[in-house]
Amino acid sequence: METEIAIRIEGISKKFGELEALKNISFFVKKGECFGIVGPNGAGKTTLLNILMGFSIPDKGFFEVNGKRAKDSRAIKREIGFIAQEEILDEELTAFQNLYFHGLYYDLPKREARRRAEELLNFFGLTRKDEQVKNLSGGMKKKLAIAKALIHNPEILIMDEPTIGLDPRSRAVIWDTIAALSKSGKTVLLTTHYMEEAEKLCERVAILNRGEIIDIGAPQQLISTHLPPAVLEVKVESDEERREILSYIAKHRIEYRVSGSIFTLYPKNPDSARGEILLLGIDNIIKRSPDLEDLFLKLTGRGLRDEAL
Amino acid sequence: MKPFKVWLRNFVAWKRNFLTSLVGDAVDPLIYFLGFGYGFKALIGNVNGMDYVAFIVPGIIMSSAMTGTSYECTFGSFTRIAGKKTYRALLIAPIMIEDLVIGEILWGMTKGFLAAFIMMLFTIIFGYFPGWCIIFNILNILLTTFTFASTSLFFTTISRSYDFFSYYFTAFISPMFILSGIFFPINSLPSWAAFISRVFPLTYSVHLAREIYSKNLTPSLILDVFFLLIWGLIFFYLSMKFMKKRLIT
Repeated sequence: METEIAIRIEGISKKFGELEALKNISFFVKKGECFGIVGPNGAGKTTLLNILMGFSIPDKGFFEVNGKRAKDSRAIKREIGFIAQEEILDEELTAFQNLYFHGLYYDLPKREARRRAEELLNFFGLTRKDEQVKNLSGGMKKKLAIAKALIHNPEILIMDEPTIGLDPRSRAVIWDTIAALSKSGKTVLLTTHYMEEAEKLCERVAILNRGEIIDIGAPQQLISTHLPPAVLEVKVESDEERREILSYIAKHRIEYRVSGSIFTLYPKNPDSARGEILLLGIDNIIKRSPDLEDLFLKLTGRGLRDEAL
Repeated sequence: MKPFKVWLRNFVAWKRNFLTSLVGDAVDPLIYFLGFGYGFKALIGNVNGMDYVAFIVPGIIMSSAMTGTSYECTFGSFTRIAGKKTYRALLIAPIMIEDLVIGEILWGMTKGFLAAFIMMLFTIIFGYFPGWCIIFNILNILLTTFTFASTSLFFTTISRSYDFFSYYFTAFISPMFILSGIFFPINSLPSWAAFISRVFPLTYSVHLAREIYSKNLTPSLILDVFFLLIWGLIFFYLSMKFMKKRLIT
């Protein structure tokens, strides 16, 4: 059993002054699994990854990566390919030099570091290998960052918000890359606040909110445990309709959230609720399957994006 | 081996515009050498029975070692810690803070050594050559760069912005340049200033260098070596400690 676990985290807590950034976090990531930590900005995702990378020391708890204990930070770093949100590329060096030096830091012999660097540049289609990193586009930089994390052929990849700030096309490319890496047998631990990303890539997710894990499981399983089979999106077109729907919600004690003129309702029986709302004279209703975003809102009472807060 | 990789990374990043950097390192002390040396020579003539240019040459070389190293380990290192976050990119790999600090100090020493070495070549062209004792002077340059690399790096680890370095240079480096016996014997200073001068590490580098250039190698010079070494080791330890504090939360 022991060998099947890539990352084990036990009771990790971390305070910054008065702020409890992480409260008693425990979970494990199985070998070969793609595991997501989902939560809004400030939930503690980056703090947790910083602890794994030895940039931050937890107040309590311990962790293991491929059986290597937290104390041996150098050994742990060897097991991991880390892709930070930023700050991972050396801007004073070229694309090739970034990979080559990173290989040397992992003690690859010079020839091997050069070979791996060339190989990865080709694999990722990074043809401008002698370009200074600062002149590359966002998508290219992200690819280079992933290439860099792969230089020592680690079994485990840790990614902090891998597609944040990318345009939709680059995002799709990075998703395909992560999916391919995961399929090739790499263990992936990623953080994200894009629900779509988590649903698409992750076999299991942990929902993290204000430093606490609220639940862990496969996305679909979590959704079916916590949410009805369908949710209703009701668009109100007047203040009167707004009052009507609010009193209906109150009367039936239905869970809901509201964003502008859109009410999202989580009734126990969506079909009968839909009929009843139609009878109130409100007819702009969409019935759809619940997703991770709904789950997150239900469990935390707040949105994932800042604007939803 | 790991610190050497940090060194190599800095070297490769610097190599791209090394000429500009070398000229910058060399011009300043050269101007002092020409200005003070040949300018004042006419007024002063001899100091302690020594030709004035010959008197200042050893100290000018040491001041190049000091400034070359100090600039690199303040502005240069700070940019790598805070500006471009180069250190973060390094620490993702199995490079530890210890490797980083040693690598940075080795790099700062290299920059100071280059500056001092260029200065030394100039003075040789002008006819000031200590013969085989030059080997001791090279060791002296290395020791001096170590002392100033660790002192400067320590200061960098506690600096919040580039503005801090103006204090470092105006309160520490510049007075040292004037008061460490490069341009006049320390004992001509008022006693309180001479006392300050004896706390400055550069005073010991300059003293060593002058004795080496005079081929006056006495056992008492070991005391200068110890002063520089112990000063350097204290700040090396502090750099390590404060770098950890700064980069690990």
